[in-house]
Amino acid sequence: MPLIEARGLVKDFHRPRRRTGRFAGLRTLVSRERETVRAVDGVSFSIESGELVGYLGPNGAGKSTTIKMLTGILTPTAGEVTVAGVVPWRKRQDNARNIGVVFGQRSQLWWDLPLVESLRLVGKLYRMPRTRYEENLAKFVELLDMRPFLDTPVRQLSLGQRMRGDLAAAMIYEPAVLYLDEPTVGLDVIAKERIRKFVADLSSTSGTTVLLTTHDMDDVEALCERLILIDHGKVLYDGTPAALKDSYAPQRELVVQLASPCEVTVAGARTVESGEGVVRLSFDPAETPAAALISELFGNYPVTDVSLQETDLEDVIKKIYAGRS
Amino acid sequence: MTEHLAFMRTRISEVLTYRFELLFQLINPLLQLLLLAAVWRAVYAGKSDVDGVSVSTMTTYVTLSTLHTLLMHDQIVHWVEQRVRSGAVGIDLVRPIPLLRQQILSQASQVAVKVPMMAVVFPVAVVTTGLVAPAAPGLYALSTLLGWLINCCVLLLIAAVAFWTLELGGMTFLYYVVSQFLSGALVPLWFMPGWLRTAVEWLPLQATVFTPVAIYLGKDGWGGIGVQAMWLVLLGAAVVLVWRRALHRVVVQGG
Ligand SMILES: Nc1ncnc2c1ncn2[C@@H]1O[C@H](COP(=O)(O)OP(=O)(O)OP(=O)(O)O)[C@@H](O)[C@H]1O
Ligand SMILES: [Mg+2]
Repeated sequence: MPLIEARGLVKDFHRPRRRTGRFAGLRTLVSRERETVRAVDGVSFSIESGELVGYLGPNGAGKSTTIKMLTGILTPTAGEVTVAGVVPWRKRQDNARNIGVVFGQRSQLWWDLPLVESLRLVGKLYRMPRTRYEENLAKFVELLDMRPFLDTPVRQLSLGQRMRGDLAAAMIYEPAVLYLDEPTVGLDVIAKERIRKFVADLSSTSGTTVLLTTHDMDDVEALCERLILIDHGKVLYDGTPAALKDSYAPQRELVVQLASPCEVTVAGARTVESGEGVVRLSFDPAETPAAALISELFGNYPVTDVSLQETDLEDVIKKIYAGRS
Repeated sequence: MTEHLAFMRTRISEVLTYRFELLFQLINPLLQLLLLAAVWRAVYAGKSDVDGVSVSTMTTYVTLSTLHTLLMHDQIVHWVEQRVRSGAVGIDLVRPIPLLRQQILSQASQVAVKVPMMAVVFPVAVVTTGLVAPAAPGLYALSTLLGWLINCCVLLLIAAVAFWTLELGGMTFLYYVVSQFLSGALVPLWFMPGWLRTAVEWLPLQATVFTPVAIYLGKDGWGGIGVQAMWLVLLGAAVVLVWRRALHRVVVQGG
């Protein structure tokens, strides 16, 4: 039985219909007419225990709305959802005990109090035995390097420090599921790296199930074995990053360094760019194995170096977003 | 239980970070006390009673109603409004304590902050205005508790409006002004004109301040407690219903 299961999830938002023209503001105010925005439109997926899944999509795709339904914050308009056997919006508190959540845009820490006070409260709210709490606190302080700001009021923390504090608060009671909604937004490369490492460790050592939304494809490349791609509230793709690359960008590139400039023509590969002793070739590994291509090049041309380019997930995603309606 | 105490402790420390605001909350009742005492002294102007109410009864009324008003004044409406508007209520909803219970614990935390404040106001009140001995101390304590609970319910009902409108605007201010009258905090019910008194007696707010003080003065008894109990049941049920509805339709702002 999957740990997280969504079946045909739908969420509609209603907002007053904006009027235009004369007295638009007043007419909007008195009008009872409302328009419906379908933020999530029949999303289904199931996630097994221990998976680390990237939940991706362009702005406004419905990612945060889905997470709000999975965490029990929002009641779905239609569809079903269970997390560890609990229907989140029906049993919010039972669900809360099974999950940890970090919203990058928003903090669960108490703004005016020292960080450690928030963590202590979390420990108590989740009824952690004292020794367990102390052990985990020590571990997280170490892993997330929080010692320097543990006693600082949260309002004085930098974004990166606050995010680490939020991660600790979400995980200190060892929930089975962790939802991360843009945990690296606005962070510098070092801070991002630290958070990725923390999440990867959590997943591999504690077996925590992680659902991650992000716009940073480096996060995805570093962490996710599986992607769910949504747009306009619908699932476009669900599978491994490699299969996504294969289906949207089957071509791979080989960069060839030559001892002297010359024309390169090999069967099964197309020249994308050539000049100054460097040639970029594009080929489909399904038709032309890279090894065959390389040995042919070495046999016929003064090759000094070759490098095989990884398909960039960023480019693939860009291509998908650009191609959408 | 420990999680509830821990939650309260955190709320108390948070309230205590705003010392300046607390100072002003303290000036408010002191000012009200001195002004009301001056007014009633002028009304009595040497007479020992007015309409059968003795001057010592009236000064005791001023002292106690001021303390009760201080106890009833609560940040909860503002807090809920701000959490709903900013979308922070989403975070509150994934805490392992139900949202409504969090609000009640917050209100209880404020009492813990109010008690030391009262310890400052009380002696000033006794010295400047006066206090007679309670007619029924036990009943008074019970009535005070019921009055506080009724006040909690009223505030929670007002706060819940934020889930529908996202803002309470001038509503809170209007409420505070009106409630000063309707609760009997400024003028005891027995000095109100007949029609107003009847209206006020049909409303729940008099049960928050007037009833406990009247019981202290021996002007009311189990009858007052009965009315309070009825209001508490009614308003408590309304709170549970309205909040359940609010949580079902809650829309959390922001990504
Ligand atoms: N409270 C709300 N009221 C009305 N519409 C909303 C509300 N919250 C979200 N929406 C709408 O629902 C859609 C999905 O929003 P959502 O926040 O889930 O997107 P997202 O995928 O998280 O985007 P982003 O990458 O920008 O965070 C958007 O069109 C948004 O305008
Ligand atoms: Mg979002």
